Amino acid sequence: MSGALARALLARTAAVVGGLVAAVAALVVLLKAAPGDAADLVTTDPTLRARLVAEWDLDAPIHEAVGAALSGRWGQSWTVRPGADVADLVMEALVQSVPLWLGAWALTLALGIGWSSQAGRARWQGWPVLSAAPVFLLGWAAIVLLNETAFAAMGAGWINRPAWFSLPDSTSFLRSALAMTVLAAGSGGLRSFVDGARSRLEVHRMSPAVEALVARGQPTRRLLAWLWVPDLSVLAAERGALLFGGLVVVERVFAMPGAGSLFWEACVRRDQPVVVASGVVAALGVALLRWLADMTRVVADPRLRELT
Amino acid sequence: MTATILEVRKLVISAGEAPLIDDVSFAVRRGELLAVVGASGAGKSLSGRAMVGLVPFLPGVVSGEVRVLGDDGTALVTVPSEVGPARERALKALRGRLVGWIPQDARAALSPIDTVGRQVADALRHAGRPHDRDSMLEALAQAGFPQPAVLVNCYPHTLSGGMARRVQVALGLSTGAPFLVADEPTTGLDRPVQARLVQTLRRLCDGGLGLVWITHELGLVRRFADHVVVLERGCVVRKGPATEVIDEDSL
Amino acid sequence: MTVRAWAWLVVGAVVFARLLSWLGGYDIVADVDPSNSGAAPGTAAWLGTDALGRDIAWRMVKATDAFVVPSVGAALVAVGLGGGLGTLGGWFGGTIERASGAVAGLPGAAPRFVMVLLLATIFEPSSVVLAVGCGLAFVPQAAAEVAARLGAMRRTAFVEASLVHGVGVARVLGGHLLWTGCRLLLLRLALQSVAFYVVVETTLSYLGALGVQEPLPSFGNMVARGLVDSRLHLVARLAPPTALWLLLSALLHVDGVVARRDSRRAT
Repeated sequence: MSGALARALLARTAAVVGGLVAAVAALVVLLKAAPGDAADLVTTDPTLRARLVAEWDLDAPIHEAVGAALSGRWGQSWTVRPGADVADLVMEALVQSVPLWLGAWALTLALGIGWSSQAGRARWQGWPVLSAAPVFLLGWAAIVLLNETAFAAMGAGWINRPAWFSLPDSTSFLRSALAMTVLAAGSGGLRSFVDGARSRLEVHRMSPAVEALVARGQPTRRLLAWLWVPDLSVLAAERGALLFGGLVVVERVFAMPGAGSLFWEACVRRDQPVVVASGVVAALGVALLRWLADMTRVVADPRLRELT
Repeated sequence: MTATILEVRKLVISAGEAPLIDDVSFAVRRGELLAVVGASGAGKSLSGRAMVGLVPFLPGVVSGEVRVLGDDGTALVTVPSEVGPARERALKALRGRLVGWIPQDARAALSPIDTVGRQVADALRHAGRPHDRDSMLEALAQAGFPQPAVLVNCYPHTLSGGMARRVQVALGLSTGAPFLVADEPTTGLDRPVQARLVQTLRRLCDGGLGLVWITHELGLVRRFADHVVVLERGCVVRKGPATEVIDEDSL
Repeated sequence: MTVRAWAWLVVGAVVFARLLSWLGGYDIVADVDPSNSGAAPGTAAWLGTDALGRDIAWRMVKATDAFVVPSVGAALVAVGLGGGLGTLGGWFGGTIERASGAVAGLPGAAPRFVMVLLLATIFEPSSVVLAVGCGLAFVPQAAAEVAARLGAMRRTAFVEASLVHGVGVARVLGGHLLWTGCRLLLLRLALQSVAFYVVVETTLSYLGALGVQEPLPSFGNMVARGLVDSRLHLVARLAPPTALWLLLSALLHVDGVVARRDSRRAT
């Protein structure tokens, strides 16, 4: 690895880590700055309140709270699963959510790259109409359509009651596949990826370097791919980050357990340790995606090594 | 049969109602340095780009042809103006095989992700020529680099303007094409560097290359070019030997 | 009718509905009429009634209360704070640009929806907090894009010449750079934050707990009711999600129109 490349990678890593620490610090500051106290949600009795404040470490200085949040010392759940270790809760939930998130991300990238790389393909005017639906609405439409179709088919005697009928009551591959598709396509995610990727590809197609290859009769595919990779990595990171938010909605709509459902429960029940842990994990996920995009850009484009 | 003449015949290029290039014709032989001169906006670069099929807008080339003729005058390749498979086939036969291209923005036209050595090797390989290290160094030396080995692992963004232009010359020569179209290769360079670059191009023409040199450096044209075509508002207003067309008054 | 005309019609209809709701005339309590539950569309209720006999059409008009004004608030936060930080960074460059970029980038550390939920949980899930959260979600993008564009324009010859000739900074920055060069960009960011607020508000009310709750109507809770109650007439079930879909499509389309105009101006 060349010196310039190594320095560039280190500099980018430091920037991402710094951003993560600043974000977690901002979260802790907001919690401290919010009016009232978390213990006030549980009791007004001064003695009990003082005990809760001590037990939950609510008076810890900011730097200690930030350190605890970053190092995974999140304490115990207050209301979602009282007494349970938050780190275990979050890990358990992540194991269930990561495949769904990965599947939706992979689907977005595969469809998005495939679609946007089709040269000369006419822009389908129907994109905005279909892609504008929020995730919950797409999920709603998918559930209603599937159930109504199955009900009609059963009524006509074409099929017996399928095992997955009347979602979201049962767990099945179909439910996961539907959830993954809704997560990938909802809120214009796929459309914005395709639009962004395609516009960057068109810019690269018209670049002087590609034009020079055309003029010399040389193939352009390799150069176009390498010029496109940094753009795709940034778009993929943005899309991946947005999917974290979509996960919350999809897991609720399809009644699937996971990190999204856990976060939602914690928000509704004001379980502060679980909320903080989920926020930190989400910020870590975003930071990791951005780091991967940065690394890809620096490796793919030698010019960026000199700029850091 | 050997390619001997590169010819543009009755070229008309339009972007809308009024033509940008109107009935332009000229030809260059192998071993000759033909300069295309004119004020900014005269249509010099557009004519040069049309020779390698790089007019990007519509309707673009409305009529006219680009031809490469053999030593007995028969057309080896004719690029028609009509968009279609015939034009694509002709351009494929022309680009890189019969006509090379040195773009105006030399550095931007180099691949930013590949070293100079890699790009020269790729051009040699595509032309079916030896692409080992020695062949690569020879191509760079031909373009006027006294120490080509220093450049091989450099990326384009680390090159000066003059160096980037010479690399473009090396890439153009690597194709092995008998003709080159150079679009303002001296723009932005210091006078001494300009003169050295044009001397290199002159030397290549003396070695049998046919060069169409698009420029507005009249002093250098008078010194180095064989023939001149003068464009004004998209039309040819004068043609002839360089020393006659460009006299002291023009300078 | 062209797509563009449809888009403007939908946006106009929403604004009109909000005005209608503000002028009054619909009582969410008095409208309850169980004897009329699940009625088909007719002259009394144009889009039918829900399970409690409430007029779906009027509830959709009232549902605009939940997002029209707060979404404008979100847009003001995104454009004001994001545009402001971007202007600072783009005009001064150097350390100030890096510092303002770092500050503007903070809200971007978490996914947008997660950040809004965090704020709603830490403070309260009111429309003010949601509006601030949705606006903050676009601050990183607004700051980065405004800084990049302003920074490029700041270095052009005509700006330097204007400053040398004594034209005030406020006029150059406000009149030339921000108004001429960035207003369409800022309009796009405003539209996107408005659309995001609509998505967040309707999503929260669909999921329950943190959004607009019954008996107050929201497109989200009306869609949720339509999912579980199959006794409703088809039109009554489909009208709220269709209206929501149309609104978001219209905002997306207008955003596309503004984007094309902005890129033509830039070239």
